[in-house]
Amino acid sequence: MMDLLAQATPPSDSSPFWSAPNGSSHLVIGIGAALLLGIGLIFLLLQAPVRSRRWIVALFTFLAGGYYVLYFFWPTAIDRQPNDLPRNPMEGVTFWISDAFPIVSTFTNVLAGFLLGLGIYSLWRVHGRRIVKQQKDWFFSFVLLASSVMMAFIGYADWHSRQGLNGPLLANKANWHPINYAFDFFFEGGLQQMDAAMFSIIAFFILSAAYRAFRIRSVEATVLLATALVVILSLMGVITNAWQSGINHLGGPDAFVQNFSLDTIRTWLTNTVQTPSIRGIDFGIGIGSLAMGLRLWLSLERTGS
Amino acid sequence: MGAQYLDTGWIAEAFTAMLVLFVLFNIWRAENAGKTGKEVYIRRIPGLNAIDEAVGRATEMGRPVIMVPGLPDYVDAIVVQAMNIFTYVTRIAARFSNPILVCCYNASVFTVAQEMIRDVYQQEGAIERYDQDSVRFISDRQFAFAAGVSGLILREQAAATFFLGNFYAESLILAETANSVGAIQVASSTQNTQTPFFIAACDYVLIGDEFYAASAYLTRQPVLVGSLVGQDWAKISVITMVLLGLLTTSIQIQGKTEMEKVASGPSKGTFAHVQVLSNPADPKSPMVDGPPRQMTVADTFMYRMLNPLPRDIKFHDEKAGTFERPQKPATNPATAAGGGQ
Amino acid sequence: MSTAQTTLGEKLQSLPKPALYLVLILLTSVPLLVKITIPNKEAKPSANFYTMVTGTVDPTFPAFTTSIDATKPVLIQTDWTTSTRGESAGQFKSLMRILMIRNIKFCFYSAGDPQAPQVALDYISDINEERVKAGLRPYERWKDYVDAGYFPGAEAICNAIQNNFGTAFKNVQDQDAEGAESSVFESPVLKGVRKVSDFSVMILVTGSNTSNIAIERIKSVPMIMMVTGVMGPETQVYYDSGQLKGLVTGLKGLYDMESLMDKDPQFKGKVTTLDNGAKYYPTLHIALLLMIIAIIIGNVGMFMTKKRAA
Repeated sequence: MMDLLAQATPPSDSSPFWSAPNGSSHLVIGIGAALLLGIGLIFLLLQAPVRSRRWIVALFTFLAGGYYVLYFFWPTAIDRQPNDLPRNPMEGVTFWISDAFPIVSTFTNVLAGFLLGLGIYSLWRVHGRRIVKQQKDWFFSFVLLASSVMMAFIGYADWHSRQGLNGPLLANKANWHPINYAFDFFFEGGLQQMDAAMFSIIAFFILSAAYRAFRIRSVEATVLLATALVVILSLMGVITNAWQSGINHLGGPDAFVQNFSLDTIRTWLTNTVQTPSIRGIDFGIGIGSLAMGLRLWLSLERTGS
Repeated sequence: MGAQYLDTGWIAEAFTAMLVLFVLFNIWRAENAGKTGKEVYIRRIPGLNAIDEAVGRATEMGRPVIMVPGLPDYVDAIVVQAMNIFTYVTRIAARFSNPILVCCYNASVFTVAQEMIRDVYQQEGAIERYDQDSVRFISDRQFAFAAGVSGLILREQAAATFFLGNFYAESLILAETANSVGAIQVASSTQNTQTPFFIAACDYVLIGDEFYAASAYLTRQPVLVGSLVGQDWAKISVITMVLLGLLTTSIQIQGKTEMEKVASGPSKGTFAHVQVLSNPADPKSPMVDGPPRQMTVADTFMYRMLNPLPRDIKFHDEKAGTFERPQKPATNPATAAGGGQ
Repeated sequence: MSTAQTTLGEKLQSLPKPALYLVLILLTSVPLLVKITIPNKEAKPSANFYTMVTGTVDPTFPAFTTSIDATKPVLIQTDWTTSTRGESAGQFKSLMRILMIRNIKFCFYSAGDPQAPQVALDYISDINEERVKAGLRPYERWKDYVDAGYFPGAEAICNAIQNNFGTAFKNVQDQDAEGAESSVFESPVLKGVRKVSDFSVMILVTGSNTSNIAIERIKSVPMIMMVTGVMGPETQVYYDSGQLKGLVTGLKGLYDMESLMDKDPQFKGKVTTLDNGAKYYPTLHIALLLMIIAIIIGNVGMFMTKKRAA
């Protein structure tokens, strides 16, 4: 049983339990059997009385979380080589945890894949209904669904065209086929640029938010504004240079006045004021996460009540 | 020890175990408060009143409440915490038949959110008012999501928005858009870099662990209240550690030392006499025992305790190797070659 | 309240957003039309980063003498996409130019964004075009660098890299010289690499908090970072504590890198030295100046209104 999760690279077995070569019948049978088993288990779980169902879910949560607790807290092996065997039972557990990690991560990815399917189903349901019923702005819903189908198709076709010997060849744009140009147009020319455009909107919003929020209404607000100004000015090479020239004019390199260069003040503010505050908040968040994680792992949380 | 503590050794794991015990003990204490007669007291954060106020206003205006549980990669503790607060908001909204909209960035969060929101309507006996489309998966691309949610805020003319969880660069886009439609906004980001943006653009911001405290204040569930008290104990322990470090380090570095920890080489991690060059002018001259030198932070007790600097153990090194591990029989050349397969 | 009754103070306090936005667009477009050179004094963290990757010690900072072993490969975690390209693209490009000129092999992966590896490949392709034009050999995938792709879950992959790099990347494949998918460990880049300490340095180019996760988990290899301005304050603390050997922050850091490259005979005249940093730094100045002016206008309006009320 201990080996069950760690059979990615068994010592002498060429066909590990959890994986099979792409396109092999072994893989197809494995996936089919796993699907059937999964459906059967879910069916059995639904048949169980509500009280015991809660216990079963709690047990699975504990086991799944328990692996990660072990992964993060169990001592790790120093300088483990691929062919090493554990020296003692303690190290045996270390090896088992480390070998099982890729398999457990794959479980997580498979689950996420199924959940992504549910998410896409929700998206299609909401927007499909809008198109069918010709509700307000239905055209945008159509654009959304059409884009998602097209991007999936073009993305796959582009990937497919780059397989095998074509891959290195297509590194040079001169050898591109229409599908590669199409992918480049939609991915680089469309998606990426729209991403960048959305990000650049922040520049406008920062300006309007700063204009609205930075008002000297109280002593605290004044201190905040003053420190913000120092930080902003210290980012401006023209200002920092002019300021530095002024300071150099007042005193030599070892003069006390050198402590008042914009860079020095900014560094003092960030290291002495800002960083400790961030660390303080981080401690709070970290401890909060720890407590929340504990409640979830041990199923102490009663959500929705 | 595990890599997670930057080699802080057993002390960090023991400290973590202590914090865990604090939380569990206080949960037990709060759950048994009825039996022992000692109620666990927590005071209310004034900012949390804003939640009731925001939903109340949305009801008056007949416009929806929009909630976003951050942009996580998967369902983590932060999402669950955000959803806990959202179930409270939804409960009030359900009582007043106010429309809600939960926008999800991640498909797994979407499924969890859908379950939790439906449960709330069921518990309130208003399942017929539950709209399946009130929980939506928008996109798992950051700015596509920001564009989608901003569009929803504008089209639905949201009366109240709740942005709670992990937010990144999109925080200001969402908050300013909601501000432009006059929505009352309650926000919190566990990403410190985004908190200032929320403060600039939102009406109420839960800073840092206030986010975690919120559901305990709102629901008064013994488990949550006990956990919150445990968190406070944990924070006091951290503060004590910091103060202790500050005090001992400040005192210690005033003194001198003639023993120092070897930082590299075969004796790494052991203590040895301070070494200096026999001829300071010649960098190749042999090292000899030197006079005591001023202590640095790295020589202090606290630093050493948290940075044990373990000795390098060299396996597979013929000269130094005493810790050889037994080897697998090399039947599979592909796996025996190392790294890849 | 009707518009006719609005005082100047109130007007100054509520400038229309579209007007502010228009002024921002107009002013930040100026550097596109007029070349503006900004005087610069390189920051220590940037100079330290530069020394690490180039081996050149800037005379302004003679204390920094550490440099990476150019015969060992470099591990790059690239977690940025075009959304933060204003800062990250320039940083990544300058890093690529340096590594390629020095013939340093590298392996890159992303733990932050599935799009990031493709974006990195696109920019590597751009630099290659630039190199071919300059008469330099293009950097070849598989032989000179490998793309290890995207790993979901930054904490898990960083922990796995620290614990056992060989296991963490065991199933990672990239296209070899024949176009077949082969284990990255068979490539000339990762040949002989089994532990993270077999790399000369780990470099993060990021616009998100994956920087914190990496530094909390990975410790067996020197680490340097290129981060966006927003991530600066959070990352600076790790530089101050010595955990980061160099740090390039935002546009200022990028401009520092480019200025240093422009002074260095290793690069001057061979590759583009002044690029995005030199182009965008004046724009940043103008945007910041506008922000200061807007804040001043808002406050003047507030004081005028208060005075009137009193």
